[in-house]
Amino acid sequence: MVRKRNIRKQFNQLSSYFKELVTAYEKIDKRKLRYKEFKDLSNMVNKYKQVEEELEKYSKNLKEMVEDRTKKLKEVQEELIRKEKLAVLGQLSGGVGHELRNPLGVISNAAYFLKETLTDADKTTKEYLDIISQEVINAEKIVSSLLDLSRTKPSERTEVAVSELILKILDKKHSPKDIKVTTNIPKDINYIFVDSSQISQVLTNLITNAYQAMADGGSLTINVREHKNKVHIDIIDTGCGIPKKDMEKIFEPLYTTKARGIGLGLSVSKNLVEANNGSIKAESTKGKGSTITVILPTKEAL
Amino acid sequence: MKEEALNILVVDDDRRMANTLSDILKVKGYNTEVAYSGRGAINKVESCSFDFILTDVKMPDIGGVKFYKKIKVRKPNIPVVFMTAYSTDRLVKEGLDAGVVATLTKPLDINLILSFLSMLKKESTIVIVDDDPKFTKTLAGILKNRGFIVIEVTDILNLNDNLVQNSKIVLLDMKLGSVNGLDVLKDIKKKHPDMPVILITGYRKEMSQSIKKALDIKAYTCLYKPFHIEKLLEVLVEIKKKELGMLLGRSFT
Repeated sequence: MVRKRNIRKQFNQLSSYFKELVTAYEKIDKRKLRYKEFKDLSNMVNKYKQVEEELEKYSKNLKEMVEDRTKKLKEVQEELIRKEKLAVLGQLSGGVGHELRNPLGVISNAAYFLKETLTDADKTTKEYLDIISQEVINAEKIVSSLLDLSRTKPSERTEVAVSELILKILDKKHSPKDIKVTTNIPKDINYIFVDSSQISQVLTNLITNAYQAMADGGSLTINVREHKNKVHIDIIDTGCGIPKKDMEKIFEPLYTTKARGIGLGLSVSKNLVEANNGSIKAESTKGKGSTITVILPTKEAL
Repeated sequence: MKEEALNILVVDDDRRMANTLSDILKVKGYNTEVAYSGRGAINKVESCSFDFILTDVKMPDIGGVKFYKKIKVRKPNIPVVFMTAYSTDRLVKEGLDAGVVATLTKPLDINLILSFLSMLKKESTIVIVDDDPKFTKTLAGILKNRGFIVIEVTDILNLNDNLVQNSKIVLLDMKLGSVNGLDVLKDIKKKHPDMPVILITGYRKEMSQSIKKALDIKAYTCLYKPFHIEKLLEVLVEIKKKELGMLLGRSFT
């Protein structure tokens, strides 16, 4: 406080000297000055210019600093909004999802019963009953992904071998026949310290996305590398890519570029990765493909 | 002779759920009763005998967990399966810990339930491996009375892979003349790692080393002669429950 008052005082003093200086300078008839006096004056003016430059530089810095802070603040705010949106959505979808399961259950039972009893029904009737059953299964899948969002289960973290996790998923999620899958996982990669079912869900999600982005075939490459106690998993596809304008929105809930889908996959993935002290980022070129990188900690990183 | 159809109780406060499910099971040849509340279900269990109960978890009066705990006291051996929209609920875990066989998520996979029911009907085959013919014979008699199919092996040379393959449980004496039960166990576990093998022995002290090793390689448990038959039956029910639970996708660790 005292210091601040001092600076204020010094500043006021300085500005009053300066005013006197300017008035005095204007009053002087420069033609009557001697050479030495003129030189001194010119030195003083130069000194003044230097101060002016310094002040300008300082003010520019200040401006940059303010801009930088504002940007960071905005980012934090956006992240907060995203989390808030997710939380509200999670709550809502948790309730709705559960409530939907009961009527879905009744519909699926009724369809099953009809299929069993209408043994002499015509072909179209049977086909329509199958459609009902199949659509119940599809609806149930949507409900499950909604429920994933509302689930706030804490992470149960253990040491997990990345290679095992990835190979297990690839084993379960067969690639469409015109997609070539390559994995590059060095043998000496350390275990990651994560909730294996949560991270497995994330990777399954990302691999499914990659397959879907390559409807006309292509190649999926999974590269694993380790850097500063963190394991980076790149999931690279040669699919349709994401337009530049959409890049910043892809982790937002309910944002999707797919014709069918509710846009929760990446958002849920980001949340799960962050719950495990990791991070996720995306790069993409429209028409060439996308790379999603998941970065997860080893035990040493903690 | 036609097999007696299973009696099944379906409990759900959503009447359409209970009714549709009951109708499907009837079409498939089972006898079914429905209850639309926990209290109604308790009354039904008191007055009829059931082989299987499928119940909702959240009901306005008495929920599935409370209902199960209540009937378990008097009829502990009826397998009960939960069906729920809330599979991650705390109540579900409480039920599973208390002894409910498994939890199914709505909408139900009817085919899974049907294959479960066909397993439920089947009697389990038990192989008794013991070189004491009297012990084997009396035990086999008791188990047969309880509805098990029993194969008696008193000469270890008669124990072959086929026999083990077709049975659900092995009762193994730890001292079979010159052969050590532990080696037999190792042999069985090598080919059938998930086969429940219950050890029996009259030599608690002498065999303690072998028993410890046997339990290390996942022998199910060890019973000491002379043992209470009730204890064995309890273990057998437990194994059956686990087997049924696994059939419905529950994992035991």
